[in-house]
Amino acid sequence: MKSKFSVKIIVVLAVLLFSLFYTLPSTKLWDQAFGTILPAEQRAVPQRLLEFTTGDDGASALIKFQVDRMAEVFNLAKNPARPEDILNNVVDTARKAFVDMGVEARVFNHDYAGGNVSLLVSGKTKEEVQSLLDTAGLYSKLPLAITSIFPRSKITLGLDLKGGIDLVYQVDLESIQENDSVTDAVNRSVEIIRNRIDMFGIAEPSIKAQDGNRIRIQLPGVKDPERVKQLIQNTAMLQFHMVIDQALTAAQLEPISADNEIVLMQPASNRQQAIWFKLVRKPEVTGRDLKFARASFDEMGAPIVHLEFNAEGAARFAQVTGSHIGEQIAIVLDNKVHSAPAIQSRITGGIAQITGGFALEEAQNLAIVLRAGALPASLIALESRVVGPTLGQESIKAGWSAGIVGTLLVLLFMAFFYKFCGILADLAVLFNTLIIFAVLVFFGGTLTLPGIAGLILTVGMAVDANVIIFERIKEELRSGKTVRSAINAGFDRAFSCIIDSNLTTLLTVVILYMLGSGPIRGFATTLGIGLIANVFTAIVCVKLVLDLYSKGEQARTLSI
Amino acid sequence: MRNRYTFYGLSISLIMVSILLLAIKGLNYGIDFKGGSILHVRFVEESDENKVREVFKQIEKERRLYFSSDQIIVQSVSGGHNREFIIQYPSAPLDTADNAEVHDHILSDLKRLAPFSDEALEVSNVGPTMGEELKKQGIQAALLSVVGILLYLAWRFELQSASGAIIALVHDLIVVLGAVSFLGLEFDITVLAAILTLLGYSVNDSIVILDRIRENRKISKESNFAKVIDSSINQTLGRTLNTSITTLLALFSLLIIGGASIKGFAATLTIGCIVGTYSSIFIASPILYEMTARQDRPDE
Repeated sequence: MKSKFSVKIIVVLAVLLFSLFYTLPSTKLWDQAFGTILPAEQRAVPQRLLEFTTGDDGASALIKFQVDRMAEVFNLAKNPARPEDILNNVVDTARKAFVDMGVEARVFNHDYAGGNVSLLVSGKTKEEVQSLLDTAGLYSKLPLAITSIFPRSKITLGLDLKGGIDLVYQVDLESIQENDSVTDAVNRSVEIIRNRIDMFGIAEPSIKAQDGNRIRIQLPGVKDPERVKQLIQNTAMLQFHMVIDQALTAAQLEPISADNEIVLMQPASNRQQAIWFKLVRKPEVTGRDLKFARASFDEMGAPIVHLEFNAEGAARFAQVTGSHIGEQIAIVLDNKVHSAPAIQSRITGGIAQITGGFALEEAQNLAIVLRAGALPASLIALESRVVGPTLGQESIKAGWSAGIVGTLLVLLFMAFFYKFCGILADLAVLFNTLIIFAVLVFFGGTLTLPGIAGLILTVGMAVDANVIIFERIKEELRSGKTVRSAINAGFDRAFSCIIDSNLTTLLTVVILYMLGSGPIRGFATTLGIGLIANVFTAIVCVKLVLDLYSKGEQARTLSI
Repeated sequence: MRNRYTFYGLSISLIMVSILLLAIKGLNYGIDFKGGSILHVRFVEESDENKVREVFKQIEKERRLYFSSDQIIVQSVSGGHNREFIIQYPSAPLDTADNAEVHDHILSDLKRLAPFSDEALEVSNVGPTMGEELKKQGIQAALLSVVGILLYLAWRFELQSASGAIIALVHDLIVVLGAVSFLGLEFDITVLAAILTLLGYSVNDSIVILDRIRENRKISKESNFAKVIDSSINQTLGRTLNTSITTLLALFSLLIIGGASIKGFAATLTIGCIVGTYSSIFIASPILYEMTARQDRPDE
């Protein structure tokens, strides 16, 4: 009997340790102890290299962040980190921490190549800034070595909590070139979109081809969703066509032969009129011959896109411009004329520019998409969901407070109604919640808003098993059984009923998981883990405590 | 047991009303199922429904939209200080590149004509294709759930008990859908998830009572089946009520504090929890009685 208990106690403790092990790194307490800057970054830009000085005007202070080039992240055999990236992250985190505390701070004297950047904090003395930095809790207060024992992963928040975009595109079959296979076009599109997004610099993108020639793109934590959407869906089909004629209406350009096409030029502003162009259908040079593209400025300081062609493209370009001096050549982007400059002279060297009508952002976007290559087909947005980070944060807050209030109410109710046993059930529920979080982190599950709802629902439903058991024990006690046999009978008789009822709910949860997507899957995940963990916490754990309590015959009464 | 006809009457009228509601008023499908767009924005200046409509009239003048500005639905978000609005407009008849582009134009026009804080809180555009698909998936999920529960019950319980639980389940499903229609809750994917969860919850509640009846029938010397059922219900009443109360406590806090995004979800679960508890006491067990009594009669 004794050994049976100790095995159970070990199992329960092991589960408790496992849960704490996986949940602790996601808590606020953890950040307070080990700093909000990632451990690897803390080693790369260590606290001991920080330098505090008074600003030139005497009314401000400077913090100089310096890179430790000996740090492990810079010396990895595979994918070593770039010092400027790490430095940038650290300084940005620090700047935000100051701004959150209502202190103005800005980046100053950046020398990324030299491995140091300063942060200028106005209106504070050197000492004040030093103590502010401590309160901000950026750096670890405990030895960093402790963190390396724990799992590095934190709980993953869904797009609805973190903010971000979820897009489903359909590859437009009509726009695929005749000799191109559909699956090939879809796969290449995925590749090209991935390139564009990587160049833009978005963490943890998920880009997948799906059934029915679809592409699903999920980007958590994107700050500028509209711009990113443009970046993705631009086909970036760049073509240079010779201009035959132009007019204010398409009708004026009739008749059109098979070798010609009519293309619209969108005006840069609403006040200008749209112009139609009649072009030679066959392009002279296309984006495929492009070697490089980047955003730049012309002599007037207006943003332009600078293009460099490969050898083949350069030769074609030289030949075309040489033989058509004085004529107009149209730069067609995604089937719209962007501009139609007149050819001044023969262009050799394969260098060209697209000018006019850009904002800097647009020029940068265009350069990225041209560099990543044109999509083999145009994309039709079937679904697009964009959640701003503000709403996500508000949802977390609302869900969190609902969770606390709901849990407290349930806990109080149970403690009031079942006294000592109720408190045991309460502990079981809290344990259950802890297990849900730990399992979520362990399997890399995602917490969504409906997931939080599932968590709260689990709290309400998880006590069910204990309620069934306690009611049964009460009955057994009423029929005159001893405490110990009442407990045993209560658990035994309630067991099949609990399994039955949990299994039916689990059944619907599994179906929800299989058929649902995103947020709903999050709901099914938390509820499902909760139901399974419930059997462990409500039956095994509570039974163990009650058994320990009634061990030996001394227990005559049970507070239930 | 004695009052069962009163409850039959109540339930049958509830079901009739629900079916009528579903037939006449129908469900207020969200954009998940019917397609369409939602813009959730917080304007810089205070606004009202009419002002927002005016802005859309303006947009309509400047651009060719596939819908008319009369078709938009404008909702002021409670607690949003007259700045926060949810604007809905229908989906295009077809998924084309041009129609998809309209959404981007509307968003930028809206921002230009009625500035909102740096980003929209939420922008969802669901085209007709995805809406149709989700509808199909939803129906599939509901059917699968019901079939799964049926199989499980058939395996664990004898026919009469299983029938009782299933009739209670169908009852719950119809009444909750009726309530969703009555309240005009937006039927979106989260509400569907809530309803599927309820199916499991409803059966769960019935099982506890049916399980007790099964047990009592075996051990009790009582020959009157009605009395066995009554005492079983009474024995489990404490549990049934307490579990419903704790679940409702959790759900109420979700409904009141949980924020606008999951209001429909929480409301559906709350209604379902109440209906489910009612039906497992007043419907599932009496049905079991009716079926068993009828079968036993020749032996009497």
